[in-house]
Amino acid sequence: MRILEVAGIKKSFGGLAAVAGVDFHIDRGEVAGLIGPNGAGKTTLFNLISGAVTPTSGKIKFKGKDITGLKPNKICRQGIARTFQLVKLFGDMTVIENVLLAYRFRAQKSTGNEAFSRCQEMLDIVGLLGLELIPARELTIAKQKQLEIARALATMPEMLLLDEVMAGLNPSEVTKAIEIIKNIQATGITILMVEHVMKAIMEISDRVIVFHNGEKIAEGKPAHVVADETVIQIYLGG
Amino acid sequence: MDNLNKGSFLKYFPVIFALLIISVLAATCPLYLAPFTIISVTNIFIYVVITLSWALFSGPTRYISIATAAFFGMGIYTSALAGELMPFPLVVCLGGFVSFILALLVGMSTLRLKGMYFTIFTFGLSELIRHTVLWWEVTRTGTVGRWVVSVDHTPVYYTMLIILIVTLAVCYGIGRSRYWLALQSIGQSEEAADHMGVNVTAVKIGVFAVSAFFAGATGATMATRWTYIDPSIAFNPLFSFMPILMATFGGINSITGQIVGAVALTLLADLLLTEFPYYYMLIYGVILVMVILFLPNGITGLAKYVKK
Amino acid sequence: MSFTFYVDVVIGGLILGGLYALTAVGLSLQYGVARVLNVSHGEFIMLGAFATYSLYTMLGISPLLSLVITGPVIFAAAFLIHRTMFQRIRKTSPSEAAFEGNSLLASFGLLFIIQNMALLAWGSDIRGYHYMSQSINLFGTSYALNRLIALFLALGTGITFYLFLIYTRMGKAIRAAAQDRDTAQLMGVNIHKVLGLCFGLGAFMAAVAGSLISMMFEITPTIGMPYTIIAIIAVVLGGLGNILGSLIGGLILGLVGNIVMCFSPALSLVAYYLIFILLILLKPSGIMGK
Repeated sequence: MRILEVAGIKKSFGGLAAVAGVDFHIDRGEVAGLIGPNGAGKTTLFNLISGAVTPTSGKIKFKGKDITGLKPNKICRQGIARTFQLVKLFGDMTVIENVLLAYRFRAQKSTGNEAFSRCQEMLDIVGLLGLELIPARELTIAKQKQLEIARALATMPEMLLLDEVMAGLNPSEVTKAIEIIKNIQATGITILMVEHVMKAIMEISDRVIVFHNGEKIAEGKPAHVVADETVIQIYLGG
Repeated sequence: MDNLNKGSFLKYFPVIFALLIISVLAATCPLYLAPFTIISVTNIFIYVVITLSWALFSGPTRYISIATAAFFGMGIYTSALAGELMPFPLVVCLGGFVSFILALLVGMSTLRLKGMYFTIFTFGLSELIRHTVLWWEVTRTGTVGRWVVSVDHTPVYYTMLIILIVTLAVCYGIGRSRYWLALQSIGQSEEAADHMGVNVTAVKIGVFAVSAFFAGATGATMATRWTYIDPSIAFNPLFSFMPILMATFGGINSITGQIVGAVALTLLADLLLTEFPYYYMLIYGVILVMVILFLPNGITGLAKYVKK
Repeated sequence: MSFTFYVDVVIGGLILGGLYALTAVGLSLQYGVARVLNVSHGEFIMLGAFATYSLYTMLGISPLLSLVITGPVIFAAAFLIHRTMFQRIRKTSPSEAAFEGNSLLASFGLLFIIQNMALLAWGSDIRGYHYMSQSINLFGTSYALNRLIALFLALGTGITFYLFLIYTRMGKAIRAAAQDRDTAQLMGVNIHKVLGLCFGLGAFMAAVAGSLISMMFEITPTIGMPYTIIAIIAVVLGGLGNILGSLIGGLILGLVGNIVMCFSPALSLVAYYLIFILLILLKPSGIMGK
């Protein structure tokens, strides 16, 4: 069943087309990897889906409903959550408060204690239990990325957009992150992740989509995409 | 966390008892205090209210508003225009309401943009309104100033007391709700807050308008202090400056700090106005600069540092 | 309406616009480069006006000559204020946004400090003096000589500054810092000196504008704030951070203001604010903004 459908989506900034007419879909429950060289338009695509940016043309449908051009907070309520390539945490707020904010704006009727323990569960999923009262800006980059995931999970999403969550992680941290993402998928959440760390892409993606210069140039199973001539060209060629 | 069990009730008992005593004293003091003292206490209430309401919005969201004088002045003019047409409590509510509407308009046009545009707009707002009112008065009514219906100091005291209680209730209420987290998140990363389901625009505009309401209601109450007002008296930039100074001095993120700051600086002002009336703007400007340079978290920050 | 009427309005608008442009460029240097939105900018204008007034009425020094004195003195004072106050705020502020907020508040405090000091020094009475107020005939109408001199001086300062920006090493450093402060620093620009210099230059322009104002209008210690507001609107009109834009913005406001003053002098600030409101509703990035 298709949870996300993107049709003819285009975004131009001035004369430059960051995303130049893209069609694809994401199936419910899968982990889809989005790869491509820097500047290929991947983060712009995320911004289009999450509502941070409105498309120049094209349509985005989520669970069959047209969400094109909706504001981010409305899209969040529809069930899409995301992390950011450059971490956007609430730095002076504590770790738990970062998650509490997202949780309390999703689950309206939560009492103090119930909300607190539910948020601790989120922190547990990403491995940040015990750090509740530390100001978010005092965390290491790796932990900050984990917190962003916990915060996104607290909005009770059906689909999660992960923007380069493995960037800058050492190999053991990458392994841990892969575990976390697998656990999240196991709860039924669909995941679309932009990644440069190929190990993660190969290991967890059910499908891979390749972007280049704002266009989709390949998609399919990881092993098949990696062997594709065009894909190899864009990564090796000029 | 907001869960009170038996143990913490006993811990809070002294505080509750003290608050009860203060409330009784506050409610009855016009009976035994001299009129001059009542007026001084009313003055303190006024500055506490505008400081708290300013900090409610500008503190967590970091959208610095310099518009308090505009709202205060609108309240004053509401009093002047409506004072003879309706009973005093209604005038006060109308003053608040007028400011609320003005804040909605300002918010809807400027809060969509970066914080600096908002601050810039609020900076000139009171001057703009002053010029407009002046032009209107001169061309339409031929006079510059207006007479205000004077109200006795006792009803004024009680009105300010009620406004103060409502302001405190709103500030504490918001402080314990998820909107406090929302306001802070807007100040930390507005884009992320938007993505986490917070209707950032609505929260900003709404809370800004609420803070303006209190400034307007206070202005309408204070107008009765003067029998004659004109645009320069009503839209005095000092009323934008004072709440900023008092909140920054007291501690921009602490309600207690703001109350302490407002009380301390109002008492200081009373002293300065009698001893050094020509220097008090200067001294207050220096205090603000000193606080920004050396005490960024105000005296609450200092208290926390000393505790350590 | 006769041709001379239109010429009158345009030249009057240019005179006013020249003044506004000067103050706007000054503020733009302070905000665009040093990133301080100096709401006490108008007080420096007022100080320039009163310094010129005092030098003329007490020591008989011609206002044109006193520019050489008051300008550098106010420049030095502002440079010092930046080195002590704003540099410290930069050090203690956790982020760029926090720095902008804190320095704005600090300059707000500075506003009250300077205004009060002026009130103590000169009192709140309206002051004025006559200097070169003879009429000159130009294009069929007569103008006060001091206004023409003001226009000439404002243009002169603007052009000199423009040449400074383009041709001198320091000017290039300023332009670099305005575009990208970190890169400029990496390229060897002594960024602290440049920031202080820009803040000082901004105040210098304010002082010059103030001097010119004292020649043409009456002054009181409270004239500062409207000029600050107009300068801010001009800067936003031109595009926040764009120095040439602020100059154009100032000229536009001056022309508009002069036209409005033909109908109702008191409504000129309202007219400026209407432009401001339209701007933020339609194109907040300003004329030259992206």
